[in-house]
Amino acid sequence: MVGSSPTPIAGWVLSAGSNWAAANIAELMTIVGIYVHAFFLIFAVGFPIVVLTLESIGIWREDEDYLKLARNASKLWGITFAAGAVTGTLVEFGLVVVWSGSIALIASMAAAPLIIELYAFIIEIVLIGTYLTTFNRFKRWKGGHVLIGIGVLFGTNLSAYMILAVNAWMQVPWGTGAMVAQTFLPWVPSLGPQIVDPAKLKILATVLPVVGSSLLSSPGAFQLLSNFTTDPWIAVLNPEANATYLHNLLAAVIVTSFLASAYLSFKILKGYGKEGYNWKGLKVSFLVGSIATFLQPVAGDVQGRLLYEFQRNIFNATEGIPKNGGYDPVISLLLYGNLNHYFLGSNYLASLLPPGDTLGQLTLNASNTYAPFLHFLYYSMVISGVILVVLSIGHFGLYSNFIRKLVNVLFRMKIETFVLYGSFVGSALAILASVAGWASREMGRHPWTVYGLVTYNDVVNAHQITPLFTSAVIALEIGILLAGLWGIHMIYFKKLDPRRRGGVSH
Amino acid sequence: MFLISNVFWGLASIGTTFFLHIFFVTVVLGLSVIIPVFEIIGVAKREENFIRFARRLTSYLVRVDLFAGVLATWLTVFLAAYWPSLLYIATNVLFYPISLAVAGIMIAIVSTALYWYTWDEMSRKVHIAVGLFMSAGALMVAFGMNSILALMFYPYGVKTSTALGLTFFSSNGLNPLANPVFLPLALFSWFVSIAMASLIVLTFALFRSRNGPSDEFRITVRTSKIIGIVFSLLGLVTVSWALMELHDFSQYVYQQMADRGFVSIVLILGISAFLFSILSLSRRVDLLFAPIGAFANYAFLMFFEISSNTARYPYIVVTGNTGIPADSIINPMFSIPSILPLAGMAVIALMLGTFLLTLYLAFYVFPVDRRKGTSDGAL
Repeated sequence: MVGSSPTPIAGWVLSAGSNWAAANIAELMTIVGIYVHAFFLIFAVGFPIVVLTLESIGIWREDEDYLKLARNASKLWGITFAAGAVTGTLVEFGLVVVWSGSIALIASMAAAPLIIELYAFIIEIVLIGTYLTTFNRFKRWKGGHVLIGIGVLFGTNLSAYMILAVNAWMQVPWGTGAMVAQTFLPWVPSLGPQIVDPAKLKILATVLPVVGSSLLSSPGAFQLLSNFTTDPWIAVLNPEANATYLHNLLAAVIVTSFLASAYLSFKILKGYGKEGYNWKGLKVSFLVGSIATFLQPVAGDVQGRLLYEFQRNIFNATEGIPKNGGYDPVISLLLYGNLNHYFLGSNYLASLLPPGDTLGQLTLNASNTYAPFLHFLYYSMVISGVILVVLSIGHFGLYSNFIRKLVNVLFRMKIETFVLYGSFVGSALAILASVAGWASREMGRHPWTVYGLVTYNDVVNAHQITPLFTSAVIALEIGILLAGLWGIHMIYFKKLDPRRRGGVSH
Repeated sequence: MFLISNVFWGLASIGTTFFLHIFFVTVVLGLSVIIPVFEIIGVAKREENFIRFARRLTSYLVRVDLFAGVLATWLTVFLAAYWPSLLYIATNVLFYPISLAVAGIMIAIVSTALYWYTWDEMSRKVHIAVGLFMSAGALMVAFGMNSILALMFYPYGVKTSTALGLTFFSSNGLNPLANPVFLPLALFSWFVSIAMASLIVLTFALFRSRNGPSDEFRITVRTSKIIGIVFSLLGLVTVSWALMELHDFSQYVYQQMADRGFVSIVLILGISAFLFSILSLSRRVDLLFAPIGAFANYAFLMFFEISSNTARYPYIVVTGNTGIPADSIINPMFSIPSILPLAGMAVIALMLGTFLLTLYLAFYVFPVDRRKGTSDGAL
């Protein structure tokens, strides 16, 4: 199996391996870049549901207001899709340039999903162009236009699934059997069927820490990895991929529908446009967000169970399990159906490590160091989710007298006021939950790029990633974000008609 | 058998994507350069029609840019999935030129978005400055990316080392920029792109001016013609330079091209493109020769790219009269399932058809200037 303490190859002339300093600096620009990309793509993934719901209602009820709402909302879909596509291209370039060792991942386990993602990407881009340019052109059969939108939705979701499947494989390297447990992380159970050649993995894991990503610069060396895997589709069969996809899709719907609600609430409160028109949109977007909010705990629960099963050290850190172990009645109830399960802490996990397993120890050190942050981030997400559920239930006061009265009593405000201001609170919390959720997921995986197999210092570019280079890239990334925000401002705020400004009192 | 299969699919996928991508990036590069030129002329001459025309072209640029970006992603992922060593060598050995290209992408994206959305929203001088950044970004992308092709023709400025009986390639700083094949290739791609885009724009303007009395199209024709002629000539000069450098430094490629008569064909196409662009000066036949000139420039570019890149086979990287063969650089980690590349080709064919239909709808059935804003102008 893979050596737990790699031995240096004598006479090695390329000193790229174990470049922690460069990896830490490079990580900063990657974090900013991915969050900037995520800001845009979350609209591309989540917002179509709102747009297509508005359009479908408009067609069904033959109500021009809904169709107009859908058409105006589709502009945001288009802008953010374009920004997401270009920032995605940059993230991809950044991945292969800055984290060039990850090319080995793309060339093996991630190849098939990323290639399918390319196909999905082109389906999306072509159909979204068709969708945006053919609004109101299907006079006889308006459903045809919705079908094009559903085609975009298919492309978007296929794309999201494939990208998230790759990320999920980095969390849970499905298809490696017992390799992870037998090498660095003994608490990890068997990860599906073993479709990776252990001898080839041994070569990769032994040489990467010594030579770093420079390994890939030798065509001859790369040929040593021939027939690395027998199943290039394994990443999409990963159980973690399904849970990650569902959780993220719902998160995207929640964030974007609450943001749309907040925008419409802003218009209502400031008196821009017709109030009835704005309320129609607000009700739909809030309803879509609420439905997704109700489904999210189910997806989150599945993901939590997988974390417990496959990444126990991260689970302990996020749940705040003490190093010596302890009780957590709520988690115990959810996982075991009783309140008394005793959870083993990181000290127990450390006791499982074989002598000389420095990476296993490094993993536990990282989990323990990050534990307070992970716990805070994780529970920021959970508490935000709970408040979102309360807001979502409360919003049904628009339709139910019982809930209306309940909201009145509990919050001492009218249901309309609750929904208007609740949409601002909801969008802030939804963003917070998303940011915190991803931060805890990625931070928790430290120091691994692929959990239990490849550390992130091993895949960074052999070049020195200097602070100046990183600062310049971060400045550009923030510039792109600001340009995108500015574009949204120009379309959705600057063009608001001041003649109609008045505002209503709630 | 396994490796042959992977080489076949690897070459088919990367080849198809490369030649589709190159069309779109050529248009993007050319438009990114000539649009600010029209705006500058408009400001200098105080001629609003130039500015209006530049704005119209920008709306088309934005659409094509998106498609070019998608295909760039295809290329990157195909390289990583099928030719990982090549991509690694490109990103590592060519760290500086590729970083320059990535910086160019970032600058181009931000400035194109700003340029489009800030029309009439900021002072004209600042807007022109943004446009010039857009041009610079686009030129930087082509400049940096051509270093990959130059490296494959003549791996200059590459540090090699051996260990465990294996050869490793690493960066030699900025030296790859001094590759003698690099500069003519980069300049050729710039000039032909500008020539082709200006002749496409000319065709568009001529067509629209014949179908309506708008000054916007009539008045910009002369500028497009001049740009087309000058850059067609520069394209011819730089391709000759590139061929000479290939002759001196990449003998295998040059010999393969010469043996098949491709060197002569490249030069004939370059001369034809130049002559057709000159013929477009005549007002009597300009509507005929402008599109022919645009097509000739496209054929010129594509034929040079296809003939020179396929001349490397069976090598991927040529070193003098030999090189690194494709089957030693192809991804050997898994057997590429046939469904993967076949599905890609089917999707791209289907979606290209849909894309062209969309362009038809967007350009002719539902052009941008006929669009109306909503009363609210917002959600």
